[in-house]
Amino acid sequence: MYSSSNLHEQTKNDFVKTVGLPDLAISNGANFIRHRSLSDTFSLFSNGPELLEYFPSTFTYNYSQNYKNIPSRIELE
Amino acid sequence: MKINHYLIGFAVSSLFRRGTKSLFVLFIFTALIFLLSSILFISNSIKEELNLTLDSLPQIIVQKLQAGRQTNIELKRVNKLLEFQGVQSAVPRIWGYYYFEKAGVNFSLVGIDAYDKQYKNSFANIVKNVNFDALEKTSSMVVGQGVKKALSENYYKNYFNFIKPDGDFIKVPIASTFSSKTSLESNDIILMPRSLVLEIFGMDKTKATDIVLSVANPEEIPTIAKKIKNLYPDTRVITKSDLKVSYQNIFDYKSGMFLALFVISAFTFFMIIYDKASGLSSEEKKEIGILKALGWKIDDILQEKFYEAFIISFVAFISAIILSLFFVYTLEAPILKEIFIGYSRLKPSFDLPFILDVQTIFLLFFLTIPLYLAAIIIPSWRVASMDADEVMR
Repeated sequence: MYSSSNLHEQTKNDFVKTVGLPDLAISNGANFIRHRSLSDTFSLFSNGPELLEYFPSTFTYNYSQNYKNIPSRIELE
Repeated sequence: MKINHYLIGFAVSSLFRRGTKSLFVLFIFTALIFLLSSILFISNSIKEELNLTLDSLPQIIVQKLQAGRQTNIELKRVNKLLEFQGVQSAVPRIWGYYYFEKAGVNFSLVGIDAYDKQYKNSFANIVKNVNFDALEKTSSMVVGQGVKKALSENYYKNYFNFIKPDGDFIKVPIASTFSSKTSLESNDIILMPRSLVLEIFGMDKTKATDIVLSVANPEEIPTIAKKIKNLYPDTRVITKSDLKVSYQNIFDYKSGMFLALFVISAFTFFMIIYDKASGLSSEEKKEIGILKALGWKIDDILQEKFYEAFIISFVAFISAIILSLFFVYTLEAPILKEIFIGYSRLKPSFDLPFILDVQTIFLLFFLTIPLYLAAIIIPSWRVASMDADEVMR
């Protein structure tokens, strides 16, 4: 059950329709965390193969679960 | 069961009699529930904000993968995709990230085509006083509030010099900013004509970043996605339902600070409970003994203890919920929101939608209050069922 007000729903939807990209602009420290639902486990490797995710927001803001298309034997949790 | 007002009165006065102790329990209890509920409120609001615009997202996104990385997709494929039964339109998109070194932030550059008349109306709603066609004619851009701020801090008030891959500059004037109502979505986004984005990224004109499809019948989306995957095995096909699933999981309580906060607070709480459950103080035992000697029955004593525990936990619960609602929605969650934002330099103004999530409140209620009640009543019952003179001795 939700009660909500003041959401500016129409404006936001118009914006997303025009731009067509998912996710909120809350983390933009690195490009692989900006559109988390489009990025996958390997997205961060395009910045460098030895990288580990180290941005604080990546602790809470998970990458996309669409990894079923990625050929890999890496265990994901 | 009839409510005995005298028992309630007795419970309240006995709480006041042990003033410091009651106050301490009240404070810890309030702090714990406040912390937990604030975090849950923030993440619920963000999830709601994401779901709010889910319907406006493209139905299918087709990306090309090469060597495990996303690369640009050939424009030739657009016609092939249009041949599928049920596909209404296939639009190649140009977008990407531009790293602005001086501020240390990534902007998201999105190309828009002036010939796509479908955007015309929605564009007019999000950008005031700039015409959709004028943007193309003057080769200018529309930027988010955060971009505008980052640029003006670096002396780019009216324009910005993008650096092309070959080292040349492109001067792009800022035509306008997005409406601040959309700042949670638009904060780091730059919208400009497609040809400009191609030039800034130095992209091949026969390629696009990805292709978005719209499908007339939503039921057909999984079938079409499968067909695309069969035709082009090197693609990643993301449907809207995939995005929905990923939104469900996006605030995974993966580890780190989130869990740490929870563990610390839960640990404190269980310490209190352990302390309570491991036995009443001799003073409390004596009090129960006296009450029994005065002729109170066991269930009178238990009722009085129940009132006592319920008053303290319920007051703590209600004040914690009110405090955290105030903290999250009025003060906009200082400190705690940093967990979700990270230390990215381009922080959007945090205008969270007000969601009163009754489910979360009930969850917290049943997670904390019954535990506390049990921790008070069970030891009292153990004492109350003993003989009065044995307890008092």
